Amino acid sequence: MTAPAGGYGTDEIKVTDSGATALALAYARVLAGESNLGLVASWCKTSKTDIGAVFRLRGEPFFTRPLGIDETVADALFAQAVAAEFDINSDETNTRVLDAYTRASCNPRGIRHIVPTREAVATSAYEATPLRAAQRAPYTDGAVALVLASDDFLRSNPECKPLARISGIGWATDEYRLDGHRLCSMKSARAAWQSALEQAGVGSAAELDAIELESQTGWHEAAYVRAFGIQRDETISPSGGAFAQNPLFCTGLVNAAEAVLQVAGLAGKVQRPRVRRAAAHSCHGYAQQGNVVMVFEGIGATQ
Amino acid sequence: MSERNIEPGGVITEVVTLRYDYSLGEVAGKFMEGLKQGKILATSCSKSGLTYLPPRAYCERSFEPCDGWVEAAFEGVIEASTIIVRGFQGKRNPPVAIAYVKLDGIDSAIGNYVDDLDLSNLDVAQKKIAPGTRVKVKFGPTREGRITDFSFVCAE
Repeated sequence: MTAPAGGYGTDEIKVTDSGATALALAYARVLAGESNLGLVASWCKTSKTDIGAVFRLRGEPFFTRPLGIDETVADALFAQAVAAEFDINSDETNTRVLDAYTRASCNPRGIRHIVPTREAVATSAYEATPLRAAQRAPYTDGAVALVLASDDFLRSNPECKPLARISGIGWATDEYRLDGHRLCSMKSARAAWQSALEQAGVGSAAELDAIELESQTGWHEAAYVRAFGIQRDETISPSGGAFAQNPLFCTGLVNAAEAVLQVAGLAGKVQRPRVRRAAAHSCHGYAQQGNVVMVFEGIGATQ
Repeated sequence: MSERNIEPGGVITEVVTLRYDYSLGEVAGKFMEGLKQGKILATSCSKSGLTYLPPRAYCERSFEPCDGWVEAAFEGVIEASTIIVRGFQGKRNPPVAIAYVKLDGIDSAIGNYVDDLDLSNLDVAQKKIAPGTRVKVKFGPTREGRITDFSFVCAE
């Protein structure tokens, strides 16, 4: 959801950070007994505005905005920091971008961007060093919605068949600063990941069969894989993630929908075999300041 | 726009210019006044011993009000940096280099432009402002109480 206001005459909450944050809030309401059935919807029409300008205006006006810092600049600072922290280089980043585009090309729900050549990615112009234009996922328009129902609702309405169960959601927000320590420590990402996995009773990434990461750039994927301890490449973003479709602010909830489809066996050409548990990840703010991680299980997976 | 250009399903483009007056407040106000005098002022917390640039009203460690001011040194170390290739309305012409720098004696980093850097080769320039590089503060010829009153230059 996108607007900072509530609904009139209806039980509606609007969330500004990201669609995945809205899912976390809706999930908390179900757990608290405040809600039995809800719709979590998110949309973004990036084609209708200048995303960079939106980000530049989000910065406070005294110390950040005068420098023209937008999401591209913040992502470049992040790329530099994680490259040094995790020994990530451009070659690895370019490979991750190409692999993501290739997976995305099979996603029936994706935009089906043309898969670029390695040379095109590697020699694309810098936007802000060390980040090159083709290392960034293209923005798209898009929308996604999930229906969330409580166990009580499902017991009372046996004709309603859920596709998946949420077994854990974690979210965290990091410091506002863009200094080296904040950028490379990835504290909020790690905290959200750990919280979600603990709730789900999952020990590590090795117990997840699919992990949809919100990687706005190839540098992001390289960093998240290391921060989350993901060692099986075949589990990384089967949908192609942001390189399939990237309606900023709702890309994370798109990831959640892709994870649900994976555990339901309904992901189509990007379906992974025997997916019992899948995680979805979302990030928002300057240089992934905020993160949400969601773990889904197939119905019957824990029975 | 002429009427014949408006078609069903078309778009109307509008550029909106807004003017804002931001109250600096006590803390940012004192910092900006310091810039006019050629000083970079940081807040400090006697409970935690931490110093903040940009200055903060409250300490993020002790959660107590910052109760002191210290003058930052004019040299420091780059924590993070980038060269921005795309230009923005109302900002400097690209390319421009920016860096977050921890000035000596201060516990947090403040961002600003890096000047006097040859940006003709971005790969080379990027290495010259890599994290760990020492830089100096350079004040501009006019000081108007804005963060852009000063910039950084490489120390060597």
